[in-house]
Amino acid sequence: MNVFFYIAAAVAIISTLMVITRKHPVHALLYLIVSFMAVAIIFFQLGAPFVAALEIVLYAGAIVVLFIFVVMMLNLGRETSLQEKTWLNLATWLLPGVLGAILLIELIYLISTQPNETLTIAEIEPKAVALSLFGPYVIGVELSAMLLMAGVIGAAHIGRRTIKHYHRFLQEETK
Amino acid sequence: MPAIDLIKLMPLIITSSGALIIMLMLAVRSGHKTVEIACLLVYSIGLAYLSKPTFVFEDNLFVVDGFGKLFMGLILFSGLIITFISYAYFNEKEENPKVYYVLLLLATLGAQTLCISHHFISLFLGLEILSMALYALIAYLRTRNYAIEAGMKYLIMAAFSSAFLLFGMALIYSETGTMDFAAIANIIKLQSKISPYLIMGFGLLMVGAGFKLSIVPFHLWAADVYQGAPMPVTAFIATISKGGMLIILFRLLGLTRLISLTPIFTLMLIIALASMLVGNLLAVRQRNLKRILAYSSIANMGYLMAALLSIDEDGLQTATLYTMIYFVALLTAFGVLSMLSTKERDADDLNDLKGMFWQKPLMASIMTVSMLSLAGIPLTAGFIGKFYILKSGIDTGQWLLMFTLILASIIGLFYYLKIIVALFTEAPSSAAVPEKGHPVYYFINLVVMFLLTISLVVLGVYPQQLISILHTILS
Repeated sequence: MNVFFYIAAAVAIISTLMVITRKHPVHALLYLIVSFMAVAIIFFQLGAPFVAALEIVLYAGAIVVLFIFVVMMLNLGRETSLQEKTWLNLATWLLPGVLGAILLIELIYLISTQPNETLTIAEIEPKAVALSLFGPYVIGVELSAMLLMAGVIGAAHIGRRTIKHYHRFLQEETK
Repeated sequence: MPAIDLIKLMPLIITSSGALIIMLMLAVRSGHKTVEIACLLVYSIGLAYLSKPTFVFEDNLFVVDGFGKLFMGLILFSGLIITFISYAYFNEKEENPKVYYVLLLLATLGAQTLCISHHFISLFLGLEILSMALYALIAYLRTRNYAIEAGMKYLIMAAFSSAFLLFGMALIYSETGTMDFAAIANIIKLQSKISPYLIMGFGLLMVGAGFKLSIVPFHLWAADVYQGAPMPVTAFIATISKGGMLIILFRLLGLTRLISLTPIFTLMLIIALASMLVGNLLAVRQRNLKRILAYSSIANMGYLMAALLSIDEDGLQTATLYTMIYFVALLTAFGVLSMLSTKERDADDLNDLKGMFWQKPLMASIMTVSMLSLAGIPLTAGFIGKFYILKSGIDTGQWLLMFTLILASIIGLFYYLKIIVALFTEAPSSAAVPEKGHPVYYFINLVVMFLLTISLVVLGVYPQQLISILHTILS
């Protein structure tokens, strides 16, 4: 259905605009999740449910993991829990919540009206994706492994801290 | 893909396993010298393998033909030279120099992938491997201000241009239904009127390609990144990274003859004209050698696009010849500059070269020959390259392009000669020349640079053999 495409696309554009205009990174990330979900809905509608699932699992999921990391690392006591409360007040999560709810309604409608007659493209199953990834395009998968290796090694070098070895007595003196 | 076909992709396998082996060597804390020699070995094995004649191999992602092997050889050769000059340069620096070689090999792998790709997927993967390794390489000396700035600039620009490239690919794919270069060309040639989506797709594709080649109007990063990167990495960006993208253009637009189509031809014509003029004009007022070479590379990419435009009269062969000559001249120049660099700073100011002839006559002569070749003076290889570009351009009757090329070369002569003049001026004062810490490596580097210089002169006098080799490969 064309209407659904436009709704999801509008949600994607609005949320992405909010991502780049937010000052607080946590707020921006909230909108980024909504943006990914909207893109996933578009994929789902086009007959690519597998890509839609990947979009949620890989992108939105990765950001949620990031959230958990931040919460884990910052969970230091009462002040931080107060700080979290100010980060996530009603005004902050209302708009992402509304946008997410729109997407949810759309998704429920789309699933309940399956099979989708408006679909013009053949649906692609995960099995077909796997067969082509590890069949004719296996070199591509291996090259992406090298790509990740380059990324990891580069990040490790740039982010490395030089460890200073002080003698324990000398360190006390400098204090 | 059956396992037997993997052997056909041996050049890629050699480089990638080399990177893995060096990474493992880092784990057992090998010395800098061992790691560097291992890296040299990887490049030499790759080159030795390429010199063996093999049959043309083609599958859905790659095509290993003579053209690809030639460019791969060129890239591995440049990598070998860059490894030679890296040891003395990085050994004195504050950073641990060993990770550098892993990243160098990975970036080379990306460029090699580009050499043999004839499909959008392998194009994009190769490009990303190359860029990903380059981000870290550019910011390698990460405590220096310029390095981080250059790295960030490259990261943002590369990511942005990748997005354009992908969108262009998507448009072309949606219009033709294939990602194979030859198949795309066949479908486009069947169309009586080229659809606007395709033109837009190729335009966006050229944004991505143009960024990597730093052609006008996508050249803004070049000078800052060249200046901020360590000297061997600058040499890498100037040669290998551009070589990888060049062969993609040669394959996508040249071998398939897509460049003869009017919209693409006009697009490339404008880019070529602008690159030649803007690059040379911007270089005139510069005093920083890295920035001069950056702007000169913009102009040289313009010359190459001009060669590609005269595809009907051996344009591809001319472009390949020019690429090879340009690479050798640039490697020589960067080799000398990195030998002059000290622990604290790169020798990238014009004043660093003042009076060098009276102190280090051999190095000054090497630099002179390299600059003359870049300027295209007779008896050096650069002249032969430019001569053939002019010849094929005039044969196809593109007068505007050729007159611009001549005008641009005259402007270019000014700043190349400025460098040469600096080499031969009176030495400022007999300031104490810092003692080089690596006499053996210094000597080896000097010998390598000397051999490259000899090859520049020999190619300038007897180019016939190389041209006939190119002719057999490309026809």
